[in-house]
Amino acid sequence: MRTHQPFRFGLILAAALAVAVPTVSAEAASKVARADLIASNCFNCHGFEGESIGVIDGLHDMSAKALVKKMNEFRSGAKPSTIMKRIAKGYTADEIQAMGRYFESLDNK
Amino acid sequence: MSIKGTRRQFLKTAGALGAVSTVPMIGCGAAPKVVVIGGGFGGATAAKYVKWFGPEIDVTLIEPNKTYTTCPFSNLVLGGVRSLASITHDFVPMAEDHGVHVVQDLVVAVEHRKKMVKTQGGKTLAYDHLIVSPGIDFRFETIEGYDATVAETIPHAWKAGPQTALLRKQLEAMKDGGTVIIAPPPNPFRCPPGPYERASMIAHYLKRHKPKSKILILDAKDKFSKKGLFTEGWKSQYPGLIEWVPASKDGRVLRVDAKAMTVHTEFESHKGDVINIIPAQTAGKIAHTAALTNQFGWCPVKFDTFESTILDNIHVLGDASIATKMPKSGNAANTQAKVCAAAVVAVLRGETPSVPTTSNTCYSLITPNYGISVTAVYRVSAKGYTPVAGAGGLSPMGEGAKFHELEARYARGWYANTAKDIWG
Repeated sequence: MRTHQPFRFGLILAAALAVAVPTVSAEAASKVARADLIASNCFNCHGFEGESIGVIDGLHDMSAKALVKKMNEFRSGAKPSTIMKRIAKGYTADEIQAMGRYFESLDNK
Repeated sequence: MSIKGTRRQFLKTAGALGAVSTVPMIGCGAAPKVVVIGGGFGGATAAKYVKWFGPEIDVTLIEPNKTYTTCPFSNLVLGGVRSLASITHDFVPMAEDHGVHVVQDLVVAVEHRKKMVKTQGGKTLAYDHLIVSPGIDFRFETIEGYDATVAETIPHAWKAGPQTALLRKQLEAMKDGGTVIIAPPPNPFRCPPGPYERASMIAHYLKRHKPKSKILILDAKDKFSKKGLFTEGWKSQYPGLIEWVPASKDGRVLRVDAKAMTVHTEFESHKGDVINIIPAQTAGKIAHTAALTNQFGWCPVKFDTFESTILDNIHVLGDASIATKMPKSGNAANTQAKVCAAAVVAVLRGETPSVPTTSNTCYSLITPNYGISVTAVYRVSAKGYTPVAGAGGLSPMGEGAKFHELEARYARGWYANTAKDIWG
């Protein structure tokens, strides 16, 4: 596990330092959780935090732009796939953007 | 503290800060407590992800066994292509890397009003939120002559581990020309395509080592998951080896005679050299003990949080829960656990849980190099989880060897990454 999210890290830090800092912004926390939760659907096949240990490509080093492009190509069939076409069609454009933002935020670029 | 630190290092640092903060603080009480029952796909994921979403929370995972052997890929053990050790996972990373307290014990009672659980070992643990992921139990009473004792000679092998090893041993000892009977259960049950993948993996073994043998599937149902794809694969890979008898053609097993090694349907009896009975199922025992089940023996939940509709602050995940269109699968339990973990963290922080989108990807192997799949993305409404129309679905019919070889590779990739996502 070499990665973490900078913005989440900040959040955790704030929580851990609640001794000194009164509260974590509830709104910010929810937003973070939503992107994380959507992206965590990818982990089963592509690895925890996008780091794959198997034959399937990892996602941890992808930019948001590259991920969105790839998902759109899977959806349209421009990029051939076994299962990704079926999966990519299940998510909204906003959800795919959120996944992209999540993986881009990992600090291993 | 370096911002480039790893999460593991971070947890340790957070732990140290937490130790400092045990001194009473204004506006900040003791860490909220989450207790998780069960270290399988649902429970282990929930424990890890409550910490992942909310490192400030104190999480305890209670599991009676030192390790967990997965039902997914246990059919490969029966086929002789994987070892039991390769599908067995421990809880060391859970404790050491993710900061979860792991307690090896069995929960025997849930005291809902006091928000406490009691264990067989005499421990009492308090919780703010309890997550229950007990898997399934068997309704042995639905098949005459079959019970937990008979299962020591006629295995169900529907909880992986010693039962899997027993069935494998029996297959190895069987003579060439023998008959293997598999009796799949009625709906709903754990892993809908599982019995048919099992038939495939046993066929893979028999074809190579005992080619005169036969597999007879005596089914309590008239259709099954991925039926078209399995039938297509059996025809090309195992012609004449597997016979499937649906319930409408007298397939349903009503009685087992362990001494005579026969099974009885309404009108016929069949003799088997190896018999695998997979009984009808219900939610795992603690769900019943804790009064979390409905009249059908499963646990109704609120779909956005997996909180029980019967008891507050108790969440039920995975096979034991009623998640409408989501199947009782390991992958479904894993994705439900993430939704539940995020919701519990949100509630403990005084926030509104976000609206979940879940998914399920389920590979089955017909041979080690011939995979098939079904997948779905689910959205939640008042009616429950519904697959997104126009997305998901089965592998296409009529694909060639290349497609199925890729799906078999991705099945292995799924297993490796899913296991790491949960127990790694």
